[in-house]
Amino acid sequence: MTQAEKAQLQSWLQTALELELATIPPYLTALLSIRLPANREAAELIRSVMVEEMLHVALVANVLVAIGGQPRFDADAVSTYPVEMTFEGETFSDREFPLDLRPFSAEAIATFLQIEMPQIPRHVTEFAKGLVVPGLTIGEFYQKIIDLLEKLARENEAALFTGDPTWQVDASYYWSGGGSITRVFDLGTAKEALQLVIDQGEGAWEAAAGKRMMNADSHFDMGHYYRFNQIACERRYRREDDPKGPPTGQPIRVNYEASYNFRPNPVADDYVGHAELAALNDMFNARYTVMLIQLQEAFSGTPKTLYTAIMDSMHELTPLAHEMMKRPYPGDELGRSACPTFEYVAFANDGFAERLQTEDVEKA
Amino acid sequence: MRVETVIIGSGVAAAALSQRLLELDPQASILMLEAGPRVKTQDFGLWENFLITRDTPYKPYLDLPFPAQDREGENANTGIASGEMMDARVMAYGGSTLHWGGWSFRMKPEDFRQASTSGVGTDWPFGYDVLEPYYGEAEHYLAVSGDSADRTVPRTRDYPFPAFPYTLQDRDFANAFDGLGITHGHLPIARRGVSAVPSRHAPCQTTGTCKYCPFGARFVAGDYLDDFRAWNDLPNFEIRLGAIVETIIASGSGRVDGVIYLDRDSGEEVTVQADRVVIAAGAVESAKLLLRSPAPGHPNGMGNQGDMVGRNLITHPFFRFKGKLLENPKKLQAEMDFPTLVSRHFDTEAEQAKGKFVLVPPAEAVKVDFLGQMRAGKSRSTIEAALTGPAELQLHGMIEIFGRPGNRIENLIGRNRIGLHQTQVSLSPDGDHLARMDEIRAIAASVYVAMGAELLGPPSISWRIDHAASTCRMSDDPAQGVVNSDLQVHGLDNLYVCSNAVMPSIGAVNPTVTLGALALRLGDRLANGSDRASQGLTEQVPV
Amino acid sequence: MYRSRARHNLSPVVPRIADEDLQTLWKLFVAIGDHWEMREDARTYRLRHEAFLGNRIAMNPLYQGYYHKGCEALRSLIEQHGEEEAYRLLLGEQSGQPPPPLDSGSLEILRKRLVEEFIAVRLALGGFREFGGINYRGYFGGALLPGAPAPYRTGEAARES
Repeated sequence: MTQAEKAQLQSWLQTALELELATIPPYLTALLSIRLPANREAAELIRSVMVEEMLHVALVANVLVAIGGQPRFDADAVSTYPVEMTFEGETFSDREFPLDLRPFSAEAIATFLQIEMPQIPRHVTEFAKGLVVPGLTIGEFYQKIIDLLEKLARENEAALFTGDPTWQVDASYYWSGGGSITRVFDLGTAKEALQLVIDQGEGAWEAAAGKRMMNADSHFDMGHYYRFNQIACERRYRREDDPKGPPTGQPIRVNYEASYNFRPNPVADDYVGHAELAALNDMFNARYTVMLIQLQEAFSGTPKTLYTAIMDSMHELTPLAHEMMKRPYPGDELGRSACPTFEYVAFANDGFAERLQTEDVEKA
Repeated sequence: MRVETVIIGSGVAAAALSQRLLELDPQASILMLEAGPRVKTQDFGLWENFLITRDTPYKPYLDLPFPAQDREGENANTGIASGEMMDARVMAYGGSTLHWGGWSFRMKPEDFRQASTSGVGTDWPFGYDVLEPYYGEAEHYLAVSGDSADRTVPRTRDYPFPAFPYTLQDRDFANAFDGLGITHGHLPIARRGVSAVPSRHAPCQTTGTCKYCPFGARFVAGDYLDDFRAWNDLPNFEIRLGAIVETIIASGSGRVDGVIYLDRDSGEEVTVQADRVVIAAGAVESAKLLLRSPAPGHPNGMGNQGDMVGRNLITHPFFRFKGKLLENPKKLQAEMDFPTLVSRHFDTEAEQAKGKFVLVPPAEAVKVDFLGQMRAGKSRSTIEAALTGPAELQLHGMIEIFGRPGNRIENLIGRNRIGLHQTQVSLSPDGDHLARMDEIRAIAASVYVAMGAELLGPPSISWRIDHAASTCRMSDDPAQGVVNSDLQVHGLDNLYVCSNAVMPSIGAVNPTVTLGALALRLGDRLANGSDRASQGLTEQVPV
Repeated sequence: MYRSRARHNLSPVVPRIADEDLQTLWKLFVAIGDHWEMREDARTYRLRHEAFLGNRIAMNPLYQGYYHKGCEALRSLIEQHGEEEAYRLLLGEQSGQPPPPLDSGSLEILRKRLVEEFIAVRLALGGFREFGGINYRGYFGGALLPGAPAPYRTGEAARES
């Protein structure tokens, strides 16, 4: 194995990380736009998917650390919306649509279905019809990564997995859904981690006749696609349903009107001159950036920083977003409301990242 | 206004009961009334403040100490024992689970027949077997980590999470117990663990700040109520805070009509009509409320025809034995904030007549204080020398006492700072208490000797009423108790007490899991769901 | 969904600490580790230290003033005595008299609101490891995972799941 091959693998894994990371703000804004207690079940489903995306970020980061790489959560890793996901200059064939920051709506759910579309066509709702799936899909992209991993491991597994496992996050840090984080230290565990990412996206279930649903709230292991399809069809799946067909279980009450109708893909410049909104947006982005820096730190040798990222930063974002969503978007002809812009900010006078770098330079 | 069920209180009993009722019928009409306010839990900033100052955010909602010569206080005690109320309970949303340690024992079968052995008090009106399936459900609800292979008590269901291994510190105690033939085991503790069942509640991260757990891994009723409401559509379930129930109202015909509560914010009295009322306000307030609620046929308070309400107060005197370890080469220190080891060797039928007791090496069995020494400017070498040199040891435990009519809880004129009526406690030890403590002291001394340590002096014994119980005790004979075996107040069809107050005895262990079991059982009965286990629905809602 | 954070009514949403003060506060934090010969690289704690400062201000707006006053006092102490001696005077056993040029008021702020709190934080973040334990009350030890060693000293081999 050459350094170049290893570097290529690391670069692909970084792309995978960025892919997973990019889905989080769209899921989060849709979630935050829901005006509870309406759409509670839909909110639960979106939340469960979003939390698993965070798991995917951690799994991919663990694999990257395991092969001696450094996951990046910096300004380059973070998307601005609308974003088109690309790989080697080409858009993913199953993502030839931009990812938006969009309120909870039929359009948003349609996009989420496309994001999570499994490789084998399942029940396609009217929203997702017309989708063409040629060429490199996300699933195929992950397969390329796995193939390269296998190839390099066959040549010299020990030389490939050189990373410090204590730099990875383990199951202590994740408790919020199905699946679990494992440390990656060899080919087997690396493949397990990546396979879980694939399965959680698109995994279906074996239609099991005669098994009674525990209760309306238990979402048995079903992939993200199916969870969103439940929202789109406003009905839960039953274990007896064929995954290739529509859900036939309990109805889910969905009311797209009961959400903050913010203007999609807000732009920070539009808040200039509107002191309150600009301040709120700055605060949000400052907190968001701190959270990303803490994620960076968590995968740079201090995994316990993840606790601070989750508890301190994440909990700050929600009330700030809601404050913004209660205010009108400046000059919007449709009277829609504002929304945070999820931008990575370079701190000027009272920031963390720059000083951290300066400190390193001084000590070097 | 009118509702189906009023639940007074918001602690473990109220939370377990309401969750069971709503699981069985999400449309159930329930109004929960809590006198205290909400305390912000799982807040990182408040947690850091706790780390630095040891101040908990619920400190303002503890009782003040009894009045003293130079100090205003609250409540009063007229007995010989301290009957201390400060820090015995928390008067806020979530109740005393805000500050509890989470020790999660089942009582033993003989505890249900305690009076037959000791000759004092009354037996429970049913046996361990009746409550056993509910013990299992309560352990799951409270997320208890325990040793399922431990057969100190019979069980038909495993704990939801495995036991925490003994700490290094506890190993020395365990070895000493072994040498003396004193049986011991893992202390079952309400700290969520990790299992194949996914959960949205975080597992214990051994942060060691249990009194204000940043993850909510230690069961707090308010957190579970909040989550339960956030994750389910429960259109007729309402919780009101700052609602101080003054009295239960009854116009006659063997039923109650509802409650009157004082709205703390507005100062107004609000009347709520209800099809039934469940008092789940703790052993102190539940008794006081009944005493304040006369009714036709109940001139001295509901359920008080036998003059039992508020009487027979029991709790667990809590003792601490100090010891001195000559040296500490293994650098033993508190790495956790909850104990992992317990001996129930003296928690047996043979010990019942004299009062059973348990022994628990505390989390801080070896006293070491790096923070204090560093703040005092001690050097590194001084701190290290102190660490491995002679050390102070502690061994804790608690002992069973028996209910006497003269040990009681009453209303006291005046309001406390929460707005509740103040309390008069009367608690006096039995004559043979000191002799019993001498026996225990000899055992503690032998444990220390076996550890290469020596006992330092007599124990300090706290008569703080954390585990207050029996003030509305259960008996199917109305002359002997306040509620029947279904927790119904005698003479009133639709009034219930769901609290440690109903327990005729509590053995030598914390009553919380037993209370959870009683609450879940009451929920089944009230919903007419009969025995849930027989319908095959044994799984809890995955939360 | 996510619970909002507790914050004092008068505390700013985004705390502002002057650059110079941030540097001084950080150096004090590092000096504490050095004084007690803590071997862990303090830089791993930089971000959490800054988050801590922000949280203290969020809990109590007076901390904005405490930090500034405390830093001024510390800088004047360093100017008078040089860094090494200044930290020795500040962190070692106290004589009761404030070392010049400090007065008792500024010494109290410096010791109580800065030094004593930073000591607690440093211990809890990992400094405790100097004294033989692998967990500490205030440290995120981690969960008890099936098949993995317990996150505290037990003296026994890894539990089977």
